[in-house]
Amino acid sequence: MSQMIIANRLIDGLVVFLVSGGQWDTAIAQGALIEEDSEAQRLLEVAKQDQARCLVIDPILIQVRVENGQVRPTEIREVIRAFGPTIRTDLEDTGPAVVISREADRRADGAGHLRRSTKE
Amino acid sequence: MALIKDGKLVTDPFVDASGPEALPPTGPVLVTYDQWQAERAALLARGTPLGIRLHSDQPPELIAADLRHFALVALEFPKFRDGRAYSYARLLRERYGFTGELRAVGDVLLEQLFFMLRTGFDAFDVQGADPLGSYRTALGDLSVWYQPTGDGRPTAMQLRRKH
Amino acid sequence: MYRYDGFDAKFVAERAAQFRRQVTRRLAGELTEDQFRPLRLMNGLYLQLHAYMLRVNVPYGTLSSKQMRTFAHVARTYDKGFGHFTTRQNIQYNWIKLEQAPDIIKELANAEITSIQSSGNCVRNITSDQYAGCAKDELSDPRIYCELLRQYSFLHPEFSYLPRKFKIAVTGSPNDRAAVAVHDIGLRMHRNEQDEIGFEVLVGGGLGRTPYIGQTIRNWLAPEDLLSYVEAILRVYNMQGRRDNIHKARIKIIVNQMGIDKYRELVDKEWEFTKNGALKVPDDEIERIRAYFAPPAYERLQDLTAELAVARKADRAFDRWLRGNVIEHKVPGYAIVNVSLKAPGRVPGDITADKMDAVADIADKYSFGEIRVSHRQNLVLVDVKQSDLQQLWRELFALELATPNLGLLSDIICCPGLDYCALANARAIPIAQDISHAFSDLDELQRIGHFTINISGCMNACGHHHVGHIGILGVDKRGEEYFQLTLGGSSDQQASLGDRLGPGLPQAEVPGAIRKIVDTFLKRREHEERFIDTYRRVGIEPFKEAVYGSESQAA
Ligand code: SF4
Repeated sequence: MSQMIIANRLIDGLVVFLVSGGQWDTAIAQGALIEEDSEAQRLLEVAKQDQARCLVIDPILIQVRVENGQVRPTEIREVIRAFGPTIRTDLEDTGPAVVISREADRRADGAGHLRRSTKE
Repeated sequence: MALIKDGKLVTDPFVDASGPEALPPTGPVLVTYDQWQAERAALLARGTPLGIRLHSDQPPELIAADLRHFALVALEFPKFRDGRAYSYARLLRERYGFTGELRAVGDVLLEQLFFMLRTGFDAFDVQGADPLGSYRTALGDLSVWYQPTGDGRPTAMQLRRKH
Repeated sequence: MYRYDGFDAKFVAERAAQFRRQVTRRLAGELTEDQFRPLRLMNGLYLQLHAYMLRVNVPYGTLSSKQMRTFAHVARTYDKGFGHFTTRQNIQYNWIKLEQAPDIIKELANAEITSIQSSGNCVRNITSDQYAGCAKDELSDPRIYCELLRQYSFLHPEFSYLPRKFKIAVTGSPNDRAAVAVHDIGLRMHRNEQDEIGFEVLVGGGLGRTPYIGQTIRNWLAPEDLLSYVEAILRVYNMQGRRDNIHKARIKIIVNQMGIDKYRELVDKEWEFTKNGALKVPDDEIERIRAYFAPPAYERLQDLTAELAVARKADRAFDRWLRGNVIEHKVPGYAIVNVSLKAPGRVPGDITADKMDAVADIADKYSFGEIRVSHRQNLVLVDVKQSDLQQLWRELFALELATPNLGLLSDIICCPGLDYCALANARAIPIAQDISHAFSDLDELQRIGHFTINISGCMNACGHHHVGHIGILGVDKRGEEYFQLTLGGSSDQQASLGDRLGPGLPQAEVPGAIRKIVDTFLKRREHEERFIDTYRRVGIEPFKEAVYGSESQAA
C-alpha cells in the first residue's frame, strides 16, 4: 500500500494532493505516490511548511491503492474528498439531478467504485 | 507584551508579584487571589496600590466585599475562547460598582476588543508587532450596538426610540 | 416581514467590511488558521470535506422572494448552482472560495441577509414555526419575539464565547412545529390565568451525543421580560457551563447535573438584578417590530370548499396534493401551501438556483412575495388564495416541487453526512435516497400515514435522528459505514427520544429494515392510528423481532 499527502488549499478550500515537484494539484492522479515511511515523514514536513506559508490547511498522510491504473484512497472519507459526493443519480426517478461532483467523470468512477465496495 | 490603557500605550506601574519571587518592598503590586487570602494584612499594610488577578474559575463574587482595596482587577482569558471573563467584567462594573482599572490578561485578541470594551475592560495586555495600530483598527470595526451594557454606549433600540 | 432600518443596515455593512479585512489578513499570512478559524466560523464559514461551506441565516425561517433570488444568484455565481436547506431553517453552500467569501457576504448584506453567528459558541439563528402569522391554531405571532432575540443576540459582547453553541426556538402555537423542547431554550407562547399572553420557558433540551428534552424553568414570562430573563439564563450558563470537555459543554449537561430547581434558583437570583433594568422591552418597541409583521393585504374572501371539491373530484393528483401539502389558513379563502423538497430519490433540502428563482416568482405571483423554510427542510408559501391553488399546483408540479408527501414517510429529514461534512461517520443522503425511492408509491405512503424518518451522519444529530419516529444514525464500525436505528422519537408538543432498536446495520440493509418496521406497524395498527401511537402502545419488541429475527429475544 502507498501513501499520499492530502490537504485543503487555503484560498479556495479545494482538496489538493502533494505532487512530486512539491506543488499541489486538485487531481489525485497527479499526487505523488509515497512508498517509504521515511519519505512520507519528510514530505509531510514539506507540506507543513506550506501550511505555515498559508498555502494549504491540515495536510495529512493517507493510504492509497492503485486499482486498474487508478489511484484510490483506502478510507471512504478520503475517497469522497478525492472524487466528490456519492449522491445517487442513477435512480430512474432522480432525473437529471444537479451536477455535484467536481467533474462528472470523476464522480462516475469514484461513486461507482465506492458503492460496490461498501456492498461487498 | 504591551499594555494599552484608555487607548494609550502605557508602562505598567504594577509589578506582577504572582510568581515565586518575593514581593518588592514598595510600589504597586499585582497578586493572585490565593496570595490575597494568605497575606491580606501584610498587603494592606504596604500602603501602595494593589491589584488582584483572577483566574477564569474565580468569579468576582469572591472579592466583591474587598473591592475598595483594589486599584486594579486583572481578569484572565486562559484561551481567547473562554468567555467567562466577559460576565465577570460586567458583574464587577455593573453590580459591584468597581471603578478602578479592569485589565484583560492572558490570551487577549484585539479581534474581541469591542466585546471587552463593552463589558467594562479599560486596559489590555496585548501582544503583536503594532499593538496600538491593531487597537485603533479594531476600534473602527463597529459602531452599532444592540445590547445595553454598563459602558453607556447607546443601543440601536435606544437611538430609535429617541427619533 | 422585518426590514432593516439604518441601524441594522449599518451593522451588517460594518460586519461585512470587518470580515473582509480578516480574510485579507489571513490570505496575507498575518493570521494563522488557529486564529482565523473562530473569526470565519462566527461568519458561518466552515472548512468541510470538499471546500469551504457557508451557512447563511434565514431568521426564523422567513424570507422574501428577493432574498430567495439572492440565494439563487449566490448559488449560481459562487457555487455549483444549488443550495441545501437545513434543519435550522438555514441555507448552506458547499463549494465556497475563501477569497470570494467577503464578496458573497457583502451581496447578502445588501439583501438584508447575514451569516453572522450561524456557527460558533454563541446564540445561533433563532428558529420558529414555519407557519407563523398564518396558522389557524396560532395564539400569537412568534416572529416578533424572534426578531427581538435576533437583534439582542447579534455580537452580544458578553455571550459571544459561551461554553458551546446555543439554540433558541419559539412557538406561538400549542401545536409545536418548531421542536422547542429540543433546544437550549424553548419558548412556548400561552395564556396565563389573567388571560395575558406570555412564554413558558424550557431550558436544557438538545440532541447530539446526550439528548435531553427541555425542562420548564418558568411557567409564564411576560413578553417585556423576555430579554432580561434570557440574559439571566445565559449569564448563569456562561459562568457555570463546563469548559473542560466539549462533549459536556452544552447547557443541557449543567441543567441536568445540578437539577432544574437549582438552575432556576440561580437564574432567579441573577434576574432579580436585571429584571427592571435596561433590558425591559418597551411596548413601543414590540409594536414597532409587530408593525413589520402586519398581515398582508388579504382580500375578503369565502372558503372555496365546494368549488375545490369539484376540482378535486376531477383531478386525483390535485386532490392528493391538496390533502397532503395544503394546510388551513387563519383567513377565510386562503391556504398555506407546503413546497416539498423531497421528491423521491432527491437530496432532502437541496434545491437548484433555477428552482429558487422559480419559487421566488411563484411567491410573487401567489403569496405576497414571501417564502418560509421549515425545519423539516421544505419550503412554504403561506398566503395563497384558494382560488389560485389549482394553477399554483400545476406550476409546482412542472417544477417537481409538488410531491404530495408532507409528513409522510418519504418526507425525510437528512443531514449532509459524509458526502459533505467533515465530522461525519457515514453517508446520510444515499440512505434517504434509497428509502424515498423504495417508498415512492403515493397510495402506499398515504396508507402508512404520518411518519417521520430523520437521518444524521454522526452523533451531532443535525438530522434530529433522536426525535424521528424512525431515527437513523450513521456510525463508523472499523472503517465501515453502519446505521443504528431508533424508534419512537417525536419533536412535537409530546416530544420523546427514540429507543435503540438493536445493533447497527450496513447501508444495504437499511431500506429492508424500514420495510419490515412498516409492515409490522401495518399489522399491529388499530383503526387509523399513526405509527407513533402504535409504537407507544405495543412497544419495541415486535419491531425488534421483525428486523433482527426471533433470536434477538434470547440475546
Ligand atoms: S449530524 Fe454529523 S454528519 Fe450530519 S451534518 Fe451534523 S455533524 Fe455533519
